[in-house]
Amino acid sequence: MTQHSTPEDVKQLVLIRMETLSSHKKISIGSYGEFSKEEIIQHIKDDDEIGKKMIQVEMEFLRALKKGII
Amino acid sequence: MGEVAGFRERFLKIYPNLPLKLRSETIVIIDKEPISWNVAYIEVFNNTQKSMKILKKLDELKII
Amino acid sequence: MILYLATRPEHDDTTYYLSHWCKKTFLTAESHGIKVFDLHREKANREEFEGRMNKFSPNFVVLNGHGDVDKVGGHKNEILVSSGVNEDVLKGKIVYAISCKSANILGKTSVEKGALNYTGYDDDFIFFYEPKNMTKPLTDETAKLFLEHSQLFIESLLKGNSLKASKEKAENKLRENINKILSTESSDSELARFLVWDLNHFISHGDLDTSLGV
Repeated sequence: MTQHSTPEDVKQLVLIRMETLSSHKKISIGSYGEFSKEEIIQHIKDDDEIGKKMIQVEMEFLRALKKGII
Repeated sequence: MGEVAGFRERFLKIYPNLPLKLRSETIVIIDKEPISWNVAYIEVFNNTQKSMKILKKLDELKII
Repeated sequence: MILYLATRPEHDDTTYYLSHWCKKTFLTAESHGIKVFDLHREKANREEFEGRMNKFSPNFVVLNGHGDVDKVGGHKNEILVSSGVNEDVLKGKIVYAISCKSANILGKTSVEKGALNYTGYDDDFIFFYEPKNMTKPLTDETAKLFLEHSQLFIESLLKGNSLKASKEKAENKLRENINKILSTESSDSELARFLVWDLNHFISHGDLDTSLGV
């Protein structure tokens, strides 16, 4: 299945936001496995499935803020 | 100009409801500079030239 | 007697954490006179799973493990139940799957084939943990933010509450944790987006008024 490449400005935004993650923690992403912050950042740069998933999580969150998340 | 005025209103409605901790997070990159909610607010509140770029981008990203 | 079956594979960090957090619920089960079938590690295989399901017909099934939209895996990702193959093994059961995406298709088809309720996640379940706590996953305060709602959900059902009430408790716990880390005194605010993701993808198919009748 062909996936569109993520617009560069979105990718850059998500990359900056992901830099705030702690390097002492790991993330388990369901079907994909466990990753460090550095690995996640690389996946976002590569714009692969895992990277796109992280971008989706991030952008959904940002867009939900306008509806109020609390 | 009218369009940006609309964006400004939307931004100013969203901002007060943001948790304080989130306001220092980057929400957009303008001219290679990361901009947080707080920084965006200062620009938007003061109706600066920069704020127009910020608001257009936030609208484009569907963040406002 | 109410019977509770849980699959607890442990072949990577993810399943190790899920396994330990699920095991916490066994105490609640036993204190309510509920018998537990614990398919731990290698026992979380298809033969053992189908065997116990067919022989004992547990009322409540908790599936820990990796999955996909139409399947749930056990130890070393051996497929335990799959849409269009054997989801009828869940007929008449209340099912909770902490298994990515399985509520998307498997959840629906299980209910169509007679499961009372299937609750799970319709996209990847995401959680953070601290590797330094790997040997003591229950002390991991980061993982707790993501996993305690799951434990609460299970325990609420074991205490006889309805699916609807139990799901609300779990969702409220996630919201509580989101609020906690967004407060000015927290240093974990960057985790909020992932908790919100899990909350938005925590869904239920089937009868919400059902309960274990404890």
